[in-house]
Order: sequence, then structure tokens, then C-alpha cells
Amino acid sequence: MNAAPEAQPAADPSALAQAPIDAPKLAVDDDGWQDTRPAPWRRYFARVFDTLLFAWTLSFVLSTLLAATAPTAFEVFYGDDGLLGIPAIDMVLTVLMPVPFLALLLGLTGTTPGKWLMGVRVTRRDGSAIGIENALQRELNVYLAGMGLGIPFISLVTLIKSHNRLTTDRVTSWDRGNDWVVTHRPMGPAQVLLGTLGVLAVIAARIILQVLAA
Amino acid sequence: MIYLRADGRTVGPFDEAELRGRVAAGELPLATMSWCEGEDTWVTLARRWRVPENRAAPLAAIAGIAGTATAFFWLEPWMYAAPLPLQRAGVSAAACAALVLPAIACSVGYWRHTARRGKPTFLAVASTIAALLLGLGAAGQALILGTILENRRATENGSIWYEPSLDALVIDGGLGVSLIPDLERELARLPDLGLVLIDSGGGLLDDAITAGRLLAERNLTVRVDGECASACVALWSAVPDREMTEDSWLGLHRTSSEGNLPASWLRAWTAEGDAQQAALLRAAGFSARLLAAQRETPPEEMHWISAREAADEGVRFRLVAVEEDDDGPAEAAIDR
Repeated sequence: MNAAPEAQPAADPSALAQAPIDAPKLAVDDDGWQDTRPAPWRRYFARVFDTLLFAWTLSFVLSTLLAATAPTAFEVFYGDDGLLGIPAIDMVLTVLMPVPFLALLLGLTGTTPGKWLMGVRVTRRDGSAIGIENALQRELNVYLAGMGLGIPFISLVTLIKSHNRLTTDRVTSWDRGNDWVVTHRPMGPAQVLLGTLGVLAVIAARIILQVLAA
Repeated sequence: MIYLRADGRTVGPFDEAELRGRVAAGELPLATMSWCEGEDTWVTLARRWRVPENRAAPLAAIAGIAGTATAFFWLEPWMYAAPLPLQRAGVSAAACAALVLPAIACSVGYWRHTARRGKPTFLAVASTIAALLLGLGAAGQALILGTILENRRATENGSIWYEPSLDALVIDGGLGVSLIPDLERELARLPDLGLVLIDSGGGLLDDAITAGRLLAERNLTVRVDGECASACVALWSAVPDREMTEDSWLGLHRTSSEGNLPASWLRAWTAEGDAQQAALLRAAGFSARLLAAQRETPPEEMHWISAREAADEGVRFRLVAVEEDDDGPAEAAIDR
């Protein structure tokens, strides 16, 4: 936060910096979203939503640009026998490609489309965004320790480990020791509606993927 | 009296009037957290005082994204529907840029306008990224479309004219991009037309099939008078009422797709074209042997069959003998 210190109290200066005894706790200096209890499933669905959204969009944009400007390179990745036809490579790239864009959003605004839907925010305690560099570092750590590089089976193990750690220690390995805090939108009708939409979108995307694969 | 948060500490209490004055003077941001005794939660001064938000900026950003999305999804159909001289790569790219750049400008303007606590809002950054990605996608699509259109334009365009002495519309030469507009124009001009004569080495398959369907809708007879090869055979086969003069020939071979585009796309398009053509030929009575000949003859070669041979192979059409005499052409039809 940039401000307030210049404002002087109207009463006795000794009252300065003395929080009234019944002042509510403030996890982050920002409106709403003060719930700091672990919410692993909200975070999981936020991550999956973001990954699918950006991976699909980026894949479409990149494949279009490659097809238009470098057909041979297009064939290497997207052709009939292209690298992305190999499931393991496809999954690794699917999880990796969104990282810079998620870092940009998270680093500048504290949230991402999936996180916004699921009511998750990552900011410093003064409410400011954590910055692109920190966000990129965090996203890479999530990619490594949380998503297991997107490698099938390894990813499942790292997800379970991260879930257990979050519910037990109340903090993930990629957030521990850093100067930011993960807060959540209070659970109310709006959050239930948005969360349901997010989960349904993820399920629909999974079904579409299955149909396309078949 | 109001308490504020500053540097992670609670300070105050302050008099509300004084705080309003400091906010008005620009000394205190509206994003400062505030709390009064008895309240359940902290809120920003903006929310406490219900300072109205500027609605124009988000609307502009949303309009920008919507514009980009519209450009993205309608570029291809728009370019195909555009007049022929406009169907060029440069025009499609310019149309794309004309729609995408304002969208990005809207988003960036919104970003700068709504920066809060020195940081842009989520919607501003998300809209900028969305506009950028959609813009890049649209640009790529425009380039691909341009390549396809340039290839289409490279196909030779034949001539279409009405021949009064034969009371027939004549299609002579390549079946290029001008085939459909020329044909539509002539058909609209000739409501009583009954016969179409065709002599063509082929051209664009999709356009040939569309032309065939246009002629079929008018219940016209299409007669091969000379040679009809490649896509021309698809056109002829798409019309139920077919004729060939005795000295005419049909040319069959595999379809082909060309251009500086991914090989897997060209293969898929070729396979699709072959399947379309085979379905039309099968429906017109072409035998399995002729279908195999069409399938096995490479695009750079041609498998020619005479009118007699075609009739013997089961192709359904009327064989027409044309003899010139003093009164003009006389016709003798043999029904098959």
C-alpha cells in the first residue's frame, strides 16, 4: 500500500498504532477475500481451469501462426506424426505453456481467470501484487513441485503430496517462506455459483478432450 | 471515527471529514483500508464512501475484446464472401489488423485508466492478454486464408457466355474463382435456359461441385462437348441431366491440394476432395473400374475415357450425335 502514513490522527497521538482490541483480523490490506484457511480443491480446480484455458488458446494461436509462417515446423509439432501426438510430451507442454501468461496475470493483479472463478488470490499482506518475477518463480515451482512437470503418474504423486502438505501445514512448498499470502473469497452464493461454473467448465473440457481423442 | 491501515499497522482514529479532505487533496488513496468500531470487517475508503466506479472503461475493454473475437471468427467467411478483387492476403491481414489494433488499444487504455494502488486491475490485464492472443490468432488465420486465396486465384479462369445459335450457355476453359459469380450472373440473366455446354480441363473442385449444384437446381442439361477433365467431371456428375457428344472425352485423376501450407493439411484436403469426387462419380454410375482409375491416376497425369467407353462402363448420360447441316446443328440422342 502506498499511502495513509501522511494522515495524522485527530485525537491524542498516543493512540497511533494502537489497534482497538476488537478490530477484526485483516489477512490482506484489501477488500474482501480475507479467508486464509487452506482450500486445496479450489486451488486445484483453479489450476486446471487456467491450464486448460491457456493451453488450448496458446496451442491454437501457435499452431495457426506456425502453419501460416513455417509449415515444416508445424509438421514437427502438430503434424500427423508430430511431437504433440505423443501423450507425455503433450501433457508436459500443456502444463508448461501457460506459465508465462499466468505469471504475468498473477504478478500484476494477484489472480488469474481460474483463481478468480474459484476465489483465490495471491498478494502481499499490504494488498499489492507480488510482481512478475516472483510470480514466475512461483509458477515454475508449482510446475515442478505441484504439477510434477505434467508427467503422467508423477503429476498425480506431486498433487497428492501438495494436497496433504497444504491441509497439514496450511501452506504449500512454493508459498512457504515468501512474503505473500494466499487468501480466498468468502464462501457465499456468488462464490458457490462461480465455483460451480468453474468446475463444470473443467469437466466439460475434459469430456471434449476425451471425445476429440477418440 | 475511522481507523486506517498503513505499513501493516493500524493507525487512528481519524475524523471522517479530515480524511475526506486528505483524499480530495490527493494525499490519501481511496484504496486505503478503513474500519470503525463495531464493524465486522475492514473496507477500503472507496467502498465505505461508495465512490462510483467509471463504467466506461470496462465497457470499452469488453467491446474491444468482442471486436477482436468477431474479427477472429468471421474473418474467413467474410473473405470468402468478399468480392473477388478483395480476396487477397494483404486485404485479409489489413482487415484483421484494423479490427484487432483498436481492441488492443482499448485494453491498454483500460489498463492505464483503472490502475489501482499502482497496479492494473485483473480485468484490464486479462483483456489485454485476450486481445493480444486473439489478435495473433486472427493474424495467423488471415495469413493462412491469404495463402489459400492466392492459390485459388492462381487457377485459370475460363469463359462463360450465352451462344444464341445453340440456345445454350457455354463454359469453356478452367474452373477458377470467377466460375460461381459468372455462372450466377448468367443464370439470373437467362431464366429460360435449358442447356449448358462444357469444355474444360478442370480447376477448383469445391467451386466445380457448387456450380454443378447450381445447374442442378435449375434442372439444366449439361453436355460435355469436347473434353471434361478433373474437377469438370465432378461438376458434370453433380448434375442429374447429363449428356456427352460422341467425340467427347472425360478425364479422371486424383485431386490435389497445393500451397505453402502444412503437408498434413494438404493431405487431409486431398483425401476429402477424393472422397467427394468419388461419391459424385459413384452416384453418376461410374463403374468400380473407372473409380479405381480415378483413384490411382496421379494428379499430374490423366486417365481419358471416350463417351462410348463411359457409356459401356455404366455412366448414366445421353449420348448425343451432333451433325452440322445448313440449318445449324442437329441432334440425335441415344438414351442410356
